[in-house]
Amino acid sequence: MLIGKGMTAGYGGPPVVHEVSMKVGSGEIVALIGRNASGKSTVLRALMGLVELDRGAVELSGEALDGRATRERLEAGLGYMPQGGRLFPDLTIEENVQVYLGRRYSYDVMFDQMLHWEVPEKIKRGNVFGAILRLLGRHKERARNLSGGEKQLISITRTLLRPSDFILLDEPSIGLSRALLAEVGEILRSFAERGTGIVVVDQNVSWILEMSDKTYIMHQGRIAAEGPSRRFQEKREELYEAFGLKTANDAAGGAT
Amino acid sequence: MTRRLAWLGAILALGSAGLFLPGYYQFLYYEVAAWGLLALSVEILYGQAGMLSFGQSVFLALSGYVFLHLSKIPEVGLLGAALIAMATSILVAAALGPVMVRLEGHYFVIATVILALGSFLVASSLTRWTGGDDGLPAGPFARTLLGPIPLPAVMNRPEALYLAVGLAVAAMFGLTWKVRASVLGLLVAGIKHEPFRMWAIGVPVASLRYGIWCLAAAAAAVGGVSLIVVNRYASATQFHWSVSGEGVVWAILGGVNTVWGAWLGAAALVTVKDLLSTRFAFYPILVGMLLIALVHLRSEGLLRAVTRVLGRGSVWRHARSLQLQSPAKVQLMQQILPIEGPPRTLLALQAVGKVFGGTVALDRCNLEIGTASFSVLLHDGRRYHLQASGGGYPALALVGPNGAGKTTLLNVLCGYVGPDAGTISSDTLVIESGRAIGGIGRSFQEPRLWDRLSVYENLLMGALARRSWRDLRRPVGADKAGAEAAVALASRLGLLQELEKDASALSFGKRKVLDIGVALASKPKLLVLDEPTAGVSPREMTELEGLVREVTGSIPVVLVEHNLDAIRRLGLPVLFMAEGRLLEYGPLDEVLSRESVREQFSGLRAGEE
Amino acid sequence: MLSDLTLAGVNGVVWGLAVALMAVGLVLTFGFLRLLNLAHGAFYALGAVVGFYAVSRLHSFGLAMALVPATVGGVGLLAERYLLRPVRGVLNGEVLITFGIAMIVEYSILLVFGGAPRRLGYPLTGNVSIFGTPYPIYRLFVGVVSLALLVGCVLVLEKTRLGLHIQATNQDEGLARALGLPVVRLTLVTFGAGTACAAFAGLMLAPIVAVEFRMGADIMAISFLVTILGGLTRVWWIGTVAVASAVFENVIALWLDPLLTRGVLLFILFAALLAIYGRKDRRRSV
Repeated sequence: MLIGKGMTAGYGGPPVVHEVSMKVGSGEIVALIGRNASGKSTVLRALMGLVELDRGAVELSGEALDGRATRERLEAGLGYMPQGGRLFPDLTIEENVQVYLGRRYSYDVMFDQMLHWEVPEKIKRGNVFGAILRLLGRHKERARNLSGGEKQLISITRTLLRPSDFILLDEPSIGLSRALLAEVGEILRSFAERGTGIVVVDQNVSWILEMSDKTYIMHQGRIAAEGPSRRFQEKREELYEAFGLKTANDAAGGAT
Repeated sequence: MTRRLAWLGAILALGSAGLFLPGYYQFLYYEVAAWGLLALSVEILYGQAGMLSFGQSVFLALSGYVFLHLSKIPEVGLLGAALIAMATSILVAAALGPVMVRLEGHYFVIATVILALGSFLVASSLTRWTGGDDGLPAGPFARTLLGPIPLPAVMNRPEALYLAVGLAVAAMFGLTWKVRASVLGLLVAGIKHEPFRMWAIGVPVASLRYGIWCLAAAAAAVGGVSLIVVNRYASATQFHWSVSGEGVVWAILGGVNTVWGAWLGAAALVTVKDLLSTRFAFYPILVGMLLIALVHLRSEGLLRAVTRVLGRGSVWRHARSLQLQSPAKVQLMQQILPIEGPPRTLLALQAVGKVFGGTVALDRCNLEIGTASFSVLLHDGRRYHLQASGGGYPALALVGPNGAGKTTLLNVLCGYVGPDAGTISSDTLVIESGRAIGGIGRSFQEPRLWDRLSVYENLLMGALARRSWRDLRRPVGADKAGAEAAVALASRLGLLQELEKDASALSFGKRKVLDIGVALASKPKLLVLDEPTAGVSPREMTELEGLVREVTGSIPVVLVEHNLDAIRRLGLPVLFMAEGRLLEYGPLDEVLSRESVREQFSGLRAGEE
Repeated sequence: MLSDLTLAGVNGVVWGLAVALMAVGLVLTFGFLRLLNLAHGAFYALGAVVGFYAVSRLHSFGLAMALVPATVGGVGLLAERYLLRPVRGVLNGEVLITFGIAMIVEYSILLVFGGAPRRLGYPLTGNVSIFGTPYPIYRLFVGVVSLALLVGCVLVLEKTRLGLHIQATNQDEGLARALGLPVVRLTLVTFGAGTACAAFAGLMLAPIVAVEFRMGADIMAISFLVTILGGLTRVWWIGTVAVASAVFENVIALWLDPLLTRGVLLFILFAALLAIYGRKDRRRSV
């Protein structure tokens, strides 16, 4: 269980995140959505210890993480993909993975591990797998030459290759087409089925609602709504309201 | 007139004060004065303009050597030699300047180190002319003043030469002080702290830097001649960058950005150096330790410690006197509004596109911004006109999901980036290769202020940015119109109490207010606001909304805002963007009631191509 | 004449490799850490002087080769930890601090070691014949050791986890922090290693050049230029530029005064720097 309790954090000025509490169980996919600048990414950064909490606490499998450095949190089993598709431009594809995993992960080891992922056979023959394997085959190429989508796939792969109990993903959808995204979703699902807890922050709300079990919606730094993802899929009005997109008429209609 | 006389008196007093000291101290006084110019040279570049230089010794040593050689020739004369020597140094600086001032940060520092070291090596090798490390004695000086004009008899006394040095040094300090207090000085300080915004409000950054570079070289050049006259000796080691480095320490000890501090710093350390002359290796060690200590303590320097006791400078006093006369509450309209006459087109964007690294940021955007109306052509061909209501001015809020291209559109409007496709035209503003030059005020999501300058100076910066070259030399305080506009603006912004505070001392909300104020102070024809209420506390939100409301009644405004409630309260029509396209237009609630807008806004429909 | 030229060429290559070693130190501090280290020349001089004492006391150049980088590198570590780290983020803070360090180190050398230039005897005596001219074997040794260290440095940067982390931190510090790389410790180690490189270069050149307190100035200036012109972090290019400029210098020195030659070389490289970086317009990032 990954638990954030009453997290309040900011970057010196007024807090960007107010009193945010969330729970992620093993094998659960949790979506964290909201409009631009609603504080989603900051929540992930707070969980990783990249911004200091003014108030609140983070707990991983019953153990308090307060004051632990990012590195220690990673070692404790918290995986993290910061701002989707961001790679070190002048490192090779292989090195970009190794930075996160260690030198023993040469591209053939990565290859091997990926082939042993317990994902449906259909996915293993699918486009995403094919694209990743082809990219790993170009392991000596510098990351700056890759397209946005290719960077994203490497970024996701490196996060999944590292054994973690919980994984935090920031914007995995950027640069990926709808078809590829569906497959990425299935891969994440199969990781969840094997017990990994996953938190996804993303702009692509339809995709993320489809894929996740539970959803938190943030608005202006606070949790505006939470509940099963299916509920928000079915009742869009609730989603819009939590996003701060209700019109004056809606408000009037709600009052009567 | 009396001010002039006062200045003249002060320079005379400073220049001659040393003459009343006994023997050795007389020499020390003028030696300090001459070295003070090296410190001043560093102070001008580093303190005023933020360009850290280890190469000022080159201009000092060069003019010194030229003077040393020419001063022996009767046909040139003593004054002639001094003039030629200084001119040589300044010309060399002027020739190097155009490239030097374009170097950024570390590269500028390294370039000055190399310049000094290269000159040192060349000078050391030309022993015939320089005497190498051992140096050459100066003199005997020619007995003529300028060509055939003989030297007046009184000039044979050493005191006369000391006096000449003293006056030259004091005059150079006085000149620098004047420059610092002038409009030019304020603009240079602005470049030091926030070069991007200076460029954005239309200040010729490179030209001003060039001017300061030449002024600094001139100070060093005068110092070089003075040093020869006082010391009667020059050595190739004076070219060395560590000599310049000493100047840096003097300037920092005296206080960066306090002109007279350079003299004070030089006085303190040159005296110590003379005291330690028998154990001369201790002096540089001491200097090194002192420098490290000063940087670690974030020291403001000796002079600031003194002025802190004596009170602030004249700029502030001037502001304070104006403040007393200014009305309690000023209407923005009367103070700032520049737009008169028939309706005009400010900016017309036609099919404007912009691509960043393969991602389409703007896709065929059509938008016409005029003084009386805006006109929008949506992506699907619908056209809307926004007429200003009741003699006011049109205003528009851009909304849309992340990555919709809102900020890119703002940057294109402001002329920060040129479009990749389409055209931008105007019948009021100057457009150069698709970019509007000046005339547009812009506030930023993260305020871009001059943190180390006062609120008053921040507002002045906006007001004075577009003064003509002739006005640059006038004292900031003498620009009454600019000062009044700044104070009036401060009064409207509710910043009168904070006028003397550094911008960095303000709360985030006040910083955002000031940021808008700076944009307004440049008397723009169009105001562009990026997230005026983002990140502020609820209490400050009301204040900012009030300001935005008043501004939208006074000048055409385009703003980006995430807080839809704020837009609703302001009653602004919205233009909805997604994926670089202009998609919907209308009152907020009407636009929001469209399912397609809600889907795109919330991300339910994303990544569709 | 031909043999003069050849000799100048060989000297140039040896000297260039030593400059490259010095430049590698700057690759670490200036290239990777973006820390303008004006004390680099002082650490070079310190290496030569410590080496001088080590050799005269211990009578073993080999021991000195281990001792010098360790002690001066240790000084570098202390300087980073206690003098530089507290002023990280202060504009020009590290430039001023390293200038102060340079003053302290150089003049402490003057106090202890005296101002007169001294020279360490060749630890390897003997000559080889190059086109009939005897050439000191130690100079070739300097070339070989420098080259070996250059290769070693590239290997560490390219093949080890440490090198990977150093490169990553340089390219995107924010991402490096987010991925849990120990950025603060990396800075410390990199600065220490850069200092050790300078000191080692000083030791290796102590038998060839005059050892004195200000010996570091011009080699530091040349290394800075070479590092910038070679592309800050591209060791092979930097080595090539270093060797090319040193060969050029040695050949020109056949006709010109050596001090003047070095001055001229500095100005040529300086002109190249201005031509490349002075033309770029101010970046207009928003």
